[in-house]
Amino acid sequence: MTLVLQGISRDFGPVRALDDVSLAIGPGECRALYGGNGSGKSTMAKIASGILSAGAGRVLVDDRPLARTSPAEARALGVGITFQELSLIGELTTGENLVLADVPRRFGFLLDRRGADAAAHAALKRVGLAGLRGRRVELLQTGEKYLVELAKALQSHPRYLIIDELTSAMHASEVEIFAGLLAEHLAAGGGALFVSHRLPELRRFCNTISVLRNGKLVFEGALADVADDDLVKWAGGGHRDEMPASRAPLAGEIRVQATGLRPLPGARPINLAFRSGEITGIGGLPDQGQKHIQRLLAGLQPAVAGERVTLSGAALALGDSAAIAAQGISFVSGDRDEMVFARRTIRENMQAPFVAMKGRPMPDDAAILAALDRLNTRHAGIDRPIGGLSGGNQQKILVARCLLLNPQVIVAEDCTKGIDVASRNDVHHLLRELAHVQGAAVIVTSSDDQELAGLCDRVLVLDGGQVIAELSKVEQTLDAQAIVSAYMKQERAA
Amino acid sequence: MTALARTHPLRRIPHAGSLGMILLLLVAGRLVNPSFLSPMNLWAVLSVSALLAVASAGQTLVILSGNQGIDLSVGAIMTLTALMVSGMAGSSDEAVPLTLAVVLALGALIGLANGIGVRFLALYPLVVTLGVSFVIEGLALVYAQSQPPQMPGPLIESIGIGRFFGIPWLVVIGAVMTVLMTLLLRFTRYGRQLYLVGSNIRAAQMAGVPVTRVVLTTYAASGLLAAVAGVLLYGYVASANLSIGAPYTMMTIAATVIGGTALSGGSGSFIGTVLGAVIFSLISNLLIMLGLGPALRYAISGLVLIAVLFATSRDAA
Repeated sequence: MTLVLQGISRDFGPVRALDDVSLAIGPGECRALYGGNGSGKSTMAKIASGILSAGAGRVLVDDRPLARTSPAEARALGVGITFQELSLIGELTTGENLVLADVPRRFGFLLDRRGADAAAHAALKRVGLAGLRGRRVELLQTGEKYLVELAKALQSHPRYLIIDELTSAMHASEVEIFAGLLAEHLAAGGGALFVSHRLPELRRFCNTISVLRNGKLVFEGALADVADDDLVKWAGGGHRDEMPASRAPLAGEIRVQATGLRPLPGARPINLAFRSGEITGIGGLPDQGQKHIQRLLAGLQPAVAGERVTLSGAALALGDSAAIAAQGISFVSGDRDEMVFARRTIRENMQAPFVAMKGRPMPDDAAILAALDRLNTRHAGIDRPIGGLSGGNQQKILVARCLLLNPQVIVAEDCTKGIDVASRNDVHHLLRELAHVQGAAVIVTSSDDQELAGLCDRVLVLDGGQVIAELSKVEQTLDAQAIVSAYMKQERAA
Repeated sequence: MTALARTHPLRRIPHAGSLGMILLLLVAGRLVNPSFLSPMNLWAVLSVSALLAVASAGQTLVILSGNQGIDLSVGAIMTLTALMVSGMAGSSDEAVPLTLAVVLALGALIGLANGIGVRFLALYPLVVTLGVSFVIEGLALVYAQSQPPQMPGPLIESIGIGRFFGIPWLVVIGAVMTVLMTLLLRFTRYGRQLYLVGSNIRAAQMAGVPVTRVVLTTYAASGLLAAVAGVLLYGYVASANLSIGAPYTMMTIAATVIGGTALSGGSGSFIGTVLGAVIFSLISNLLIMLGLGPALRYAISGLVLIAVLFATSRDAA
């Protein structure tokens, strides 16, 4: 009687997220699935619960294979999952959300309101929230939402519970409720897979652990036998692809000075400076304020009271993306849906920032072609719609656009997301040149700590909106291990 | 990549579909009635087409701006304009310049109100422009009750039905409008920004396009152009009534979409719309020649529209 994931591999486009990973969970076992950003742990959880398909390998629930990519089938076989990015529908009430997957019915098609209410009441009583079943989910607090999510997962009486990250916004009392239910579940012979990058949580709830790094299983064993430092090292170590050594940065004058930043609501304000000729990475666990900083600098997000940014001494028009672009800050994101004009030609996509602002001469075809060549971009002519190209090539075009602009500052938000290694290297090469040769201040984030370590001259590690570590290539304090250790240690101390 | 490079030869001719359709309609017209190709009939069809094309100019801009952009107030603005020109200018030419200034400014203001609703109140363009069109119709009714419509003066009338070196003024105005609109869309900063906003409004914002200004300008221009069309319509019909502009709301959308402008925005041209207007007018004219009554004419032109859209929207996709 075990939940077995056997030889699981999974690719996202050119990126291998999981590479031949196996693990098993027996009755009464709570297994930790541990790893840094982008290590593949959430992908593993989603494959186990039928949300994603595995490229190779199989999922066996008590010897019965999960034949289709279907959460309903996984649920029927006895696997339940809770998400950190909650699967609840905000506009519906707590009770409605709970019975959504299997609505009590009369005559097969009429909604059985009384039955639904009773089922919701019973399920919510377990998490101590029975009184909230008439309230819309969007009005709940984060911790309450999480418990509702847990109640929803337990609704189908799963033998195997997959917990994809507990929210850090949970109250101590709420964590107690969670702990009680988990203990009850394990005592009844159930198993659990607890996905997290927070060691204290894992230590508290789990007895075995599997460690993933870059989609590969690097350690498996009893949690009591291993030290935190080893776990952190295993999760962060090793280099997937060698990055060419970065030449010593020009370390020029301070170009961007940001004061009174509040990267997360309620966080203490911080000050940041970015120098010309330097690539600065902003690392840390997801959603620690990286997005706010980058979008603020690009004018895509209104400023919070007290925030002030200067560019070479002049105040930035925060919240006004057009004005900020004209002041010399270029933004490029890996989210192509919000970057690409799919219907329009490559030429128009390249010229868009010049069309947007006055006073800059429009690049001609020769300049456009030269920029594209620099990035080894494949295309069938710049008068073709960009939408016909592969994601990697579209992404290169967006970066090549920055080359034409020759901006003072480049803000790159996970700009190599989902592109292959060769393209990624082309993009890195270009960002380095923009910083080290042309003297731009480059500010990058990445969902991949290896990439940050390889590309950046300096990495600021954020946690809860605060800079908890500053790592520098010149001082030889910067590698992926150091980034992971910084944010993992923070979690351990918390 | 090679699949992209291979294109059907006919596709390389711009607007091959529309031009083929026009040819087909001309041949069909000739078979139905030999006088279909007479200069008189052709000028008449072209005049009606030009009027529709001018009315569709604003609609084209709004639909190009994407994000569910559509202007359902075109017909109401045309009605109000026709009534106001009739009421203010009367049957003389003296007050025409002032009247034109007033109605064009009013049209632009109404369009600006649409734009504010779309951009700042974040309402669906369909809802905003429909609501505004009801308001305008109400105003038109009040105005018509206080100022009974009159016959147009010589200047307005000659714009509507007069000729310039043998060419109807409407056709001349339509041609000038075609050139101006094409220059606007292809070569001005606003025109190029419009395509970007219509194609992906978030990407436009990221690239630094002043999105709000583009959207407001577009709706204001649509109102202004609808007012221009209202003046021409009044001259052409030589009278004004409360329902004079109403059919144009749907006709302008039809002409724009037949002309190949994507309803999802960001792709299309004004030449396309002009050809769409010609096709629409040819179909109506042909059905009149066949001696069909208005009821049947509406029904058939609706069906033909669906057929044309079925054929054209598939190759747009």
